[in-house]
Amino acid sequence: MRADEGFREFVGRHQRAWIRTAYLLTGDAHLAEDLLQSVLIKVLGKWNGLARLDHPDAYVRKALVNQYISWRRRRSGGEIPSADPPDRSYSTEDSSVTRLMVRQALMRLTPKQRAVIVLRYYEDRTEKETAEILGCSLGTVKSQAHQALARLREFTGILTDIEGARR
Amino acid sequence: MTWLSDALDDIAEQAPDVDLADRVIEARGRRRRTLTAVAAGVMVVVTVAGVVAGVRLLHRGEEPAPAIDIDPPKSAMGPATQAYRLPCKELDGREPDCRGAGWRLVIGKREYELADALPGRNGPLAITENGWTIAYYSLKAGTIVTRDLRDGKVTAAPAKIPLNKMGSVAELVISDDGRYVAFSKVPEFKDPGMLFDMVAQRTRLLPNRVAPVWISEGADRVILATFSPRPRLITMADLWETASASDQTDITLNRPYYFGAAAVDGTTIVALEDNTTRQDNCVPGDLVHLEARTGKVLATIKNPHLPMQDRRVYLRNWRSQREILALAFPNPDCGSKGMAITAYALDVHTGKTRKLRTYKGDDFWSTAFPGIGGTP
Repeated sequence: MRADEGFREFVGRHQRAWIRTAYLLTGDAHLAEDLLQSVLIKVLGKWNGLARLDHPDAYVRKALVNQYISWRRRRSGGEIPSADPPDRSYSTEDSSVTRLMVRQALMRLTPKQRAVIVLRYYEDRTEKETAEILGCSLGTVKSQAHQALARLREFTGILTDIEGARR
Repeated sequence: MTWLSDALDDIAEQAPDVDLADRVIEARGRRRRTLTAVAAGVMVVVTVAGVVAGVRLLHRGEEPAPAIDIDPPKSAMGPATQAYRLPCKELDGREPDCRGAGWRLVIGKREYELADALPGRNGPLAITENGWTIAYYSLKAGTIVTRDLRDGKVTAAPAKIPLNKMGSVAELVISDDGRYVAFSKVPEFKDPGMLFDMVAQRTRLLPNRVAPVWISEGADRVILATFSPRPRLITMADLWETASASDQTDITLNRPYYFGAAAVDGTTIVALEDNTTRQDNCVPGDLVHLEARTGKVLATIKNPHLPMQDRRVYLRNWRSQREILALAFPNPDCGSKGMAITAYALDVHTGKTRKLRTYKGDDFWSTAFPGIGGTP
């Protein structure tokens, strides 16, 4: 059916970007798939209307982030990795260790802080766009970003050094 | 804050390669079937006799099952007139190992099960205009093959395509002489679409996720398109003169179109506007002539005389300079009661149609017909 073809085409075009964002938000491949699938089921139910929008992908993006926040609120405890960061010194070239550190640190942020970090520093969105997606004020985005970065530095002392070295 | 962006990029790279479109559509299908089952249960309680009568009527309406052989003989008795795919996972009640599912090739009054053809939605099949050569993904060869029905000769493409890279929906177009095959699929993962010269065993890379809708004679030029609210239309030329196409256009159109084959010289293409964006989904979309390289609309035929009150119509290959083949699929959303596909000759200048014949099947992705142009 054409509606399904259009939906399939739409998903095929954007799903790689969505799953990356979902993976950054959840920190887990299976949870990322579950998150995106649950959002897409809702999108398919409204597809006839959404297909007429100029940017239906913006709707999906917004739904993805907000569904994630809603999930994490319901799932108290979260999925914080238990392994400790490796005890060694790092260099700016050691990207795999940096990645591990950031990943660990991200899991310790609140859902909203994590969403702000992903939208601002991964998707490179402005504060205004981030506020629109999250449905909150500009001030909230600023404060959440400030607190999130402070916590990232706190959890990954090494990152402070890396940041300093790159300034 | 480059370090953070870089680290996030690195982490995101580890996101799984997934293809969720089919999974989501199937999940909706399961939900609908459950609702239908509940509704049917209520109906059974209320009026058992009526349901029994309905079932009897349905059985009376079925055609007698044709004889099915495994694989066509080395020398077939005639050209293929169509192929259709019996779904596996999409249908309830099939054997767990999907026995009996897959592609069936129709030759005259006989049907042949293509046991080696990938049976899923990602297993495409194409038939040349004369019906004597078919192309499909061979499980045995691990790539696209062509099969000449006159002598049974099977030719494998020069590049392997791992099964896990076939995506969820794949498309094939075969040139009229059976020599060239264009392949694409969604999602794109990281590997490209391909154009194969099956005789000289050469390969050219094509943009991914874009369906080939036309190949010129000699396959020097191809046109590819997406089917979306804002479709892309890509033309590629000089495909075999250099390592990559040196003459390429890539445009995004503002209206949703479903394309047919391009004109012989590849400069123009006809398309039907997607009618699902109208207020009434069951009213035909306009027929348009487009300049293939720029997307400029050269002519519009308002309300072509297509039976879209209960059908979805797709444009295919040219039958003459005036007429293009239009295939009308049943559209249950608009009250279709029939279960057959009807072929029409559509006059692209007047929008008038002539009924040609009917085909077996009811689904866009589960059928294949002779000739290049649009999809299926």
